[in-house]
Amino acid sequence: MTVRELTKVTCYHCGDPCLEDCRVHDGKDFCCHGCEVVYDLLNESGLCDYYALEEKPGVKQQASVDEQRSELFDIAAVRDRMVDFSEEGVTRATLHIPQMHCSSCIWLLENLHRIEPAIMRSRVSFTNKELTITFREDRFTLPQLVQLLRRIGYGPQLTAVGGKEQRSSVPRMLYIRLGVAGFIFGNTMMFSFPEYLGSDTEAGLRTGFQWLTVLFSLPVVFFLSTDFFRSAWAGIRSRMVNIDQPIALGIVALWTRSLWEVISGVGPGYFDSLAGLLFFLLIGRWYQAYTYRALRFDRSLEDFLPLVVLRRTEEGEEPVNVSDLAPGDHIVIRDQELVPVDAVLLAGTGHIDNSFITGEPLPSRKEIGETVKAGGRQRGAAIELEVLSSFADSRLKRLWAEQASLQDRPAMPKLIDQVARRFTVAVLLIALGAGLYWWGKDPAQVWLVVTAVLIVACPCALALSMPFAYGHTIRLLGKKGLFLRDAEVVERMAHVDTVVFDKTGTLTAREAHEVNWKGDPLDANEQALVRSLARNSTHALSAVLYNELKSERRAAIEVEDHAGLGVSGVVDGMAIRLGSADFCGGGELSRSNGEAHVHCTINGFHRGHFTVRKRARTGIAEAVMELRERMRVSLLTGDAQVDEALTNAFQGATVRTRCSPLDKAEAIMAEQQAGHRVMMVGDGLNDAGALAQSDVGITVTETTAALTPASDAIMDARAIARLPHFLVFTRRARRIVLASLALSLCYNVVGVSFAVTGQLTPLFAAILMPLSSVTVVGFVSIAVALASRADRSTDDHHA
Amino acid sequence: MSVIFLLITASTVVAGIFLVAFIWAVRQGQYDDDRSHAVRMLHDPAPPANETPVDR
Repeated sequence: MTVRELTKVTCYHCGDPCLEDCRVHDGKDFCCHGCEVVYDLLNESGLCDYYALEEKPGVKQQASVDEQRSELFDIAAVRDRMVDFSEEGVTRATLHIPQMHCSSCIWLLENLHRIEPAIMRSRVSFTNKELTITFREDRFTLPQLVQLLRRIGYGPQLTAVGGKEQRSSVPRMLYIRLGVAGFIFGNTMMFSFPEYLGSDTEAGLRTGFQWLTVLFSLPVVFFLSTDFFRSAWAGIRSRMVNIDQPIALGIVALWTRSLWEVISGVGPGYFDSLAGLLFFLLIGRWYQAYTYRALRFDRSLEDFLPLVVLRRTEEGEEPVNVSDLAPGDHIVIRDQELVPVDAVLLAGTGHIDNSFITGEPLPSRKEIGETVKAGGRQRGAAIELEVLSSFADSRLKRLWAEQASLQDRPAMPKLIDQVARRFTVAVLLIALGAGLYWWGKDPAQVWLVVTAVLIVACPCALALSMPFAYGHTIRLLGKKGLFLRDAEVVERMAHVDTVVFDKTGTLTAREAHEVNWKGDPLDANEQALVRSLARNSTHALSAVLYNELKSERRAAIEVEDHAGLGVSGVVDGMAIRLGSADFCGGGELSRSNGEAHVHCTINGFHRGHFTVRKRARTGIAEAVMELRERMRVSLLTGDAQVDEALTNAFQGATVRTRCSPLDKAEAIMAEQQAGHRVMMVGDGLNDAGALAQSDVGITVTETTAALTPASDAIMDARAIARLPHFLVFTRRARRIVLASLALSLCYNVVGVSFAVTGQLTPLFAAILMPLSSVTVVGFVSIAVALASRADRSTDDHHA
Repeated sequence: MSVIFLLITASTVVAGIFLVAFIWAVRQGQYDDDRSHAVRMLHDPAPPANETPVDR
C-alpha cells in the first residue's frame, strides 16, 4: 500500500499518480516528461481549454519508439486503408484512434488546425472512434500527421484502420424505419380517434379517415415489415420455426383483415394496431443493434500483425508488406515491434516477449543464430533477422488456421426459437380449432375469428422481452468490465457448469511481479543504488526491479549495457552490476518455473540475487474458491508448474501443466463430451483454440484497446475477480427472461380468449398490444437492473 | 365539417415535412455518432483561424 501514500499528487495531463518522477512545470504537476511535452505543445497553441473541459483528460505517453514507424504510413497498402480521397494536394483520411475517451479528446482532435495550420478540418466520430481529417498534403505529409497525433497521445492504430465495412454503429436504415414507423403510428392513431370515441361522427368523415389509414398502412407492410418477412421466409426455407414467423403471420392477418373491413364497409380495421406493432418491434431491433455496436469481435490474424516491416537490402531499408516477405529476406525489427514471420536472428540481441502467443510476460533471450518464432515482440534495441518462411507458412498462421477449424462448435438451441416453435404451433392449432368450431355454428364468422386469433396472438411482447432483457444485461456487464459479443452469450453463460482457466497472463498479471531478495540483506541506501542503475537499463527485468523497489532515485554514471549479461554502472561512487550469475560472479542456481533471477554485485562483492515471479491478480484466489462452491473449476497451463500464489485456490481441482494449445482445446472437448458446459477464460493466442472450443470463451485483457484472440467475450483484467458474480447475474437474467415470456404469454391468452369468442374490437386490440409491450419491456428493464444491484452489494461485501 | 379535412391535411403535411427532415438527417450521418454532437455544442468557438499564436 505504499503506492497509495504517494498518490496525493496526480498528473495535470493524464491524472496518473505522480511518483518520485514527479516534475513541476508552469505551476502544474506532471508524472513524466511525455505528459509535460504534450502540455507545452497545447499551451503554445493556446489549446489549454483541453484541461478545462474534463479533469486530467490526457492519455499517458507510451514509449516514444512508435514515432520511428510513422514512415510506414507512407507506403501504398497502408495509405489506401486510410485515405478517402486525395486531389490537388488536399487529402482526406479517416484514422482509427481507440484512445479517445472523453469530451476533451473530441475538442482537442477537432482543434488540431490550431497546432498545425496545414490541417484544414478534423471531425471526430466518437462511436466509431474515428477521426476524419482533411489536410494539405503538399505542406504536411501523412507520416507527419501521424507523428503529430502520436506526440499528443492519440496515435492512430495502424493495424485495425477503420473502413466503412467495419462500422459498428446502428445501421442508418434502422433509424429511418423507426422514424417512419413513429410517424405512421402517431398519425394512424389520430385518424382512428373518431372510431375510438363512438359512432356520432359523420359517415363521410369516417370513410375519409379510414381510407387515409389504408394509405398510411402501405409503407408499414411494404417497407417497414420487409425484414420480418424475409427472416420468416428464410426460416421456412430451412424448415426452421423462428419468432419472426408468427410475427409475419400477424402482420399479414392484420393488414388483410383491416383492408377487407374498410373495403366492405364493415368497420375501421386494425391499422392503428398494425402501425403500433411495427413501431414497437423496430424499437426492439434498434435496441439490439445499439447494445452490440461498441465492440468488434471477429478479427483476422492480419489485425494483430504489423502490415509492413522494414526490409534491409543492399540499397538500404525499405518498408514492405508482410505478405510480400520471402525466405532469405533480411528484416529489421525495432523496440516494441512484432516479428511477423519465423526468422533467424542475424544481429543484435533478441528480448522476445511472447505474451501475445503464450501470455508469458517475461521476455526470453535470443542470441545470434537462434530462431525467433512469429508473434514475438522485441523489447530492446533493434535486431536484424533473416526470414525463414513466408507469412502464409508461418507458425502463427498455422495456429490461427487451427483455431478457425475449431470454430464449428455444437450449436445451442436458442431459448427464443424453442419458445417460438411451441408458440407458433399453438397459435395455428387454436386458429384451426376456433375456425372449425365456428364453421359448424356460423360460417360467416370463421374468417373473422381466425384472423382475430392470428392478430392478437402476434408475439410482439414476446419478441421484445429478449432483446431488452439481454440487452440490459450486456450493457450492465459492460459497465463492470465484461463485454459480450451478443445475447446468445448471456444464455450460454447461464448454462455454464465448468470454468477452465488459463494461468499465465490470465490469472497472473502481465505487469505485476513479486520481487524477493535472497542473500545479504540490502539496506535502504543499497536498494536505492540498485534501483538507480536498473532505471538505466532497457531490459524488462530492470524495469520490474525499478517499479517494485520503493526508494529514491539517484544519478548513475558510466552505465553500460552488456548484451546478454546485464548492466553495470556507478552510482554514488559505488560500482554496481546487475545481471546473470556469471556476470555478477555468483553461482548459477536452480530456478523454479516462471521465475527469473537477477544477481547483484556491489563494489565487486556478490551480494545475492532477486527472484522475480509473476503475481496472481488481486482477488483471484477468493474468486476461484467462490466458483468452486458452485461449479467445477480447472486450470490448464503451458508452464511446468503452478505458481505458489495459486496452489491453494486450486487445491484438489483438476490442474494440467505443460499443455500445448491443442491439448487445451482437447481438454475442453473432453469436458464437453462428458456433458459439461464449459467456460474458458484465457488470454493469449495459444488459448485461441480452447476459447473457440468452449461454450463460452472469455478473453482477458489489460487494455480494452489491445488486440485479443476471437472469443465470445472480452473481460477487463481488473474485473476477473468478479467472475462468480457475472455468472450469477447471467443466470438471473435468464430467469427474468423466462418470467417475462410467461407474462407476455398471459397477455396472449387473454387476447386469444377474446378473439375465439369473436369479441375482439379494434379499440381493444389497439390498447392490448401497446400495453403488453410496454409492461413487458418495463418489467425486464427494472428486474435486470435490480438483479445487477443485488450483485453490486455482494461485490462491496467482498471488496 | 370539411374544414377538418383541411386541418388534417395541413397537419399531416407538416408532420411529413418533419419526417423528411429526419430522414435527411439520418442519411447525412447525424445519427451515426450519438456522443460527439452532444459534446461539440458545448465547446467554445475557436478564435479566427488566421490568428497566429502569441510567441512567448
